[in-house]
Amino acid sequence: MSKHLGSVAAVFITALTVGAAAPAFAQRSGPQGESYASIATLPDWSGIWVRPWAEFEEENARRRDPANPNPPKLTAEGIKARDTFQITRSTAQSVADPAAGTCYTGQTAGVPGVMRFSFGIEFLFTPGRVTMLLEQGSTIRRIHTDGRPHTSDPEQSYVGESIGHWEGETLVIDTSAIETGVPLSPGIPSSGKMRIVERIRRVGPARIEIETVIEDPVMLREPWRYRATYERSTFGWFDRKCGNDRDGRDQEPDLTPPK
Amino acid sequence: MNPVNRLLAATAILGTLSGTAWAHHSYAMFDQTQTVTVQGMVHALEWTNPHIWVWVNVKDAKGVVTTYGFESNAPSELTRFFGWDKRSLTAGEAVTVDFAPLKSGRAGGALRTIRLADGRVLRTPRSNPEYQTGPPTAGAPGGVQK
Repeated sequence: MSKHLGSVAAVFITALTVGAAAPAFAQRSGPQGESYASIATLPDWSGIWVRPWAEFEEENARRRDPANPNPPKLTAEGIKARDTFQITRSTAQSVADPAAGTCYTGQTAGVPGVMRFSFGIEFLFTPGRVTMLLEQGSTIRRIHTDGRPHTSDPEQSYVGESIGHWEGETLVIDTSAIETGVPLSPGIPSSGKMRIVERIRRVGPARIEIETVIEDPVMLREPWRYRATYERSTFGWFDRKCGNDRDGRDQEPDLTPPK
Repeated sequence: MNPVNRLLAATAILGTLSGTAWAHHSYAMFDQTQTVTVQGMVHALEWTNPHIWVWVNVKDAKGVVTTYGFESNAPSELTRFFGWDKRSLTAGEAVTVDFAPLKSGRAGGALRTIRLADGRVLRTPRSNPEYQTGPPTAGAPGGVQK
């Protein structure tokens, strides 16, 4: 790990030790965006938001670093599931299954993974709802801010069921009902009982911060917290439709040159 | 089925999905500890998802031309973070290419940096030799703590 990366990680962890012990979720304050008039008073999150490359690169390096200061702290079940996944992945026959399709990278990573990529995110405000459009996997997240509670027996999905509210200029999102097996971190599947609280706010003219707290009573010994930042991109929206997958799941690439 | 077994079964089923949570794929077929350099003429730029491919015709000492294929990142990443666009390379241009070679020894690799005759330099994430993608190495990160 570079010195630079080490200092970044240290700041990262220092920041994460501040704050409540459990995901705070309750206090609606200020405009809730229940009408177009109310939406006009919400913060301006227009544009396309993308993680700074350096932060994305540092996060990847940190995840691979045995000295990673902020790994998800796994239960025994979590360790077993992670190791099983790694064995599955290292078995060439299983990961090269043609039935899985050749353009698997076009699939959504689901929540929370979809938030960690270096791809674009857009926020749309309509009455009673915030919608997030994500380039990765052409994912759509619907966040209901109309005061409704979570449903009693929701269908599981890759993005889960998201209920949000505004605390001043911070959007707080509580997500559950995420499909069993959707990774909570790369290579670590979630249990179907994962709950995620995200706090999203502008921290500068062209900068958004998302603080995420993940709980999973089967996989995690304690809540896993981290922060990510996103900057307003001056470029447009990029399609992620996958049309030229030459090496699929780490297969020897097709080296047939184009005409 | 108990909860853990159900989870493990789901893990196997969703194995392909889980792979998407890191950057696309692990690049395990490339030797990312190495950098090889070739000179040639641009054959084509495939400005495509999930990743772009750059194709370069390289002539050996005997005059035999081999078309090399170099994989890089997504068009969005190269545009937003590395200054590329779909017209960054033109067929017939002379280029010098640094890349991490295929372990198989075939003609291609993971693109690091392209230098053009007019002085332009096209960088990629792998211009940084320490940059790696892929899953955490077994047993390292991921939270094994006593």
